[in-house]
Amino acid sequence: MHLFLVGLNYKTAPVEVREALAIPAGESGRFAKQLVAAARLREAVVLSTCNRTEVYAAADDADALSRIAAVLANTAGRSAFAGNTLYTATDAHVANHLYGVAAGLDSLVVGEPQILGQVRNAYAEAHAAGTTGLYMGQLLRSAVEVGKRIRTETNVGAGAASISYAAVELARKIFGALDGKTALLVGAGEMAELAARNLKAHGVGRVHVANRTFARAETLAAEFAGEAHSLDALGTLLGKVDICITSTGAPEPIVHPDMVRRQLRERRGKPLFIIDIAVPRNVDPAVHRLDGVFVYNIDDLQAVVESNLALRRGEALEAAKIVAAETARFSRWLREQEAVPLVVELRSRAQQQVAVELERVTRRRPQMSAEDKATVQAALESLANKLLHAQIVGLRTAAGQDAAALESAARLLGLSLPQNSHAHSSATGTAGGSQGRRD
Amino acid sequence: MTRLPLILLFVATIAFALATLFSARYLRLRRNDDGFWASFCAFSGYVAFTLGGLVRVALAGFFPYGSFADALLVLVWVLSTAYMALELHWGLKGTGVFLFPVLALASGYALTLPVHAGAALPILRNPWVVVHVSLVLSSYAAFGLAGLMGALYLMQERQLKAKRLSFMHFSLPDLAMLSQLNETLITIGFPLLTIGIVFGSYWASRVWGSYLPNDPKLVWAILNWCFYAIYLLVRSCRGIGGRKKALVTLAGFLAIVVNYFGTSFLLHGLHRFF
Repeated sequence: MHLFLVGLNYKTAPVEVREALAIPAGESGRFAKQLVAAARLREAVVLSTCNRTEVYAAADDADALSRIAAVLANTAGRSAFAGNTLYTATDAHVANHLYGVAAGLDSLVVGEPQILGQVRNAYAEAHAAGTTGLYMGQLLRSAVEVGKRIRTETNVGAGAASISYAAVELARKIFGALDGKTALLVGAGEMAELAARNLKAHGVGRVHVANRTFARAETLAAEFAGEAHSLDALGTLLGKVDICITSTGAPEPIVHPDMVRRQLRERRGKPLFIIDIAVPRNVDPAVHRLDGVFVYNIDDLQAVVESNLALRRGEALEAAKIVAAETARFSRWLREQEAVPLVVELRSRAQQQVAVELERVTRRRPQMSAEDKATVQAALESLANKLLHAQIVGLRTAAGQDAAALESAARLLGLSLPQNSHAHSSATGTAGGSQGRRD
Repeated sequence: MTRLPLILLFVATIAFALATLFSARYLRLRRNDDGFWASFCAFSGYVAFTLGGLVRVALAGFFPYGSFADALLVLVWVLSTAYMALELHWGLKGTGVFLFPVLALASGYALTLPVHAGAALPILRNPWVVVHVSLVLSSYAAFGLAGLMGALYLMQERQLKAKRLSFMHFSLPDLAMLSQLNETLITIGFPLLTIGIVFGSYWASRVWGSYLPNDPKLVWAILNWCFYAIYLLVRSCRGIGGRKKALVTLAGFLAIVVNYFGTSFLLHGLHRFF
């Protein structure tokens, strides 16, 4: 059995091509079924997100790769793809790629968590469509496990990857849980509204709005079921709220160190987090130096995101080690599968011998009761299994090593190696299509 | 059998030292493995230490506080008990990074001290003394942990102020929690110290005939008490900013350390029984 990957992603294909091949959610199972029929595959799973479309497949012959590519080109409505639009992989390299994908190492934003769920869904849909079996099952299930393992053992998903989430994360490191904290919007811009909505979604309670035009403050406050204030109240409000978002179009800073310092007493040591998304800035940078006051402007938040992503990229190296180790494990499993037909043969040979011996005993002792006969049969089967055990383990180990080891082990046991196994795949690549219906 | 406490103490020393390394690595790299091993080593150290202490008590037949080594060991035990409870209850990881080296040094140092020297001064075999010592040492443990929280607060605050966030930012607890723990620990430690001093001075009045005998350790303790009293007063009247709170509690703990070691070795007074 051969495993294949054929795919394209945001690195290899422009958005028009990705769009043409984007399989909508819920359709990937049907597409996998079409692929199995059109490209003569054993098993197939289709992973399609906005950044990638990938086909994972198991087939009997090595030519399946070009057949899958042809079906994809057909689906995309073109005769063929440009030279390096499609990337491919075979056997253990397929696992290597999918493990990286599942862990988010191959994503546009390194370590993003959605892809793991998308891998899980792709498998579930293919499974429901009946296009999965031993190989895709093992591949996809292990990929989900590896993805989970990498997320817990490395920091590849640590730190916010977007400005709005970076603000929430910083707030959490200052206040702990955000439940019941109060926020103040200074200025009624769209950005500020968005930021406030985000904070509210993460537990922030009451929202105050202060604006130069009071009417605008009132409409925005109504949206959040909050309180409207005029801009004159800014000083007093800074003594009460926990988080402040400024976004006015004022040409000069409107929040000064003295203004905040006067409120510190009122705050009784409670920290204050100011997010200044206005350009030019609304908050004098000196405010950041006050005890318990933290001012982040839009550039600061952007820098936090950048540094988080840099940390993630560093962690991706750590994650790659796990991917390599897990790939080696999958590779061994894959080779061990070569032993399966031999084990089946060994077992059936033993069963035949048991039947022959049982026959002989019954002929010699025809007066034997059914009960005695069952006892003898059980004893024979038990003996056969015991004798077989070491041989089966030996076959598996040999298969796990390499093709040559499996071949000599098979020869020792008097078993014939199937034609389309890996040992012969290069020689019989095209001839294997009709053989090997064993799994 | 007499060697057993020493062996256990040695194990505890090693375990606390390892816990230090793992905690530091956890804070820097934020790997769950390191966090687990830090907690594991600290807990093993704690168990070994406790067992060692119990064997020691069993051998001596009385509550051990007669020698400096014993007093130190009791302090280490109270401190580690309090920290273990804190770590378990709040699910903290790696936060013992400043505490574990202290525990390792203290238990390592105690290894080098004579065990039975001055063990049974009759003047100390008095329930008042036991209560006095336990209360004062417990308050020191609370102040010590408050100082630890202060140090961690300063580390996290530094990350947030510098706006350059490393893994330490993610692995350290949030400012609110550190600040809250700091406050709670001081609130617990202060009454313990107060009652401990009252008991001590009552006992002093029975032994020396004076409630406040002229003794450097006592003077320091009163100064410490005043320090925390003023801090609590200011905190409840007008509130103290997070950084100041952290610095003050750190300074307060350093003053206690000076008292604990300084007056035992540099100055001579009534508390120097050994």
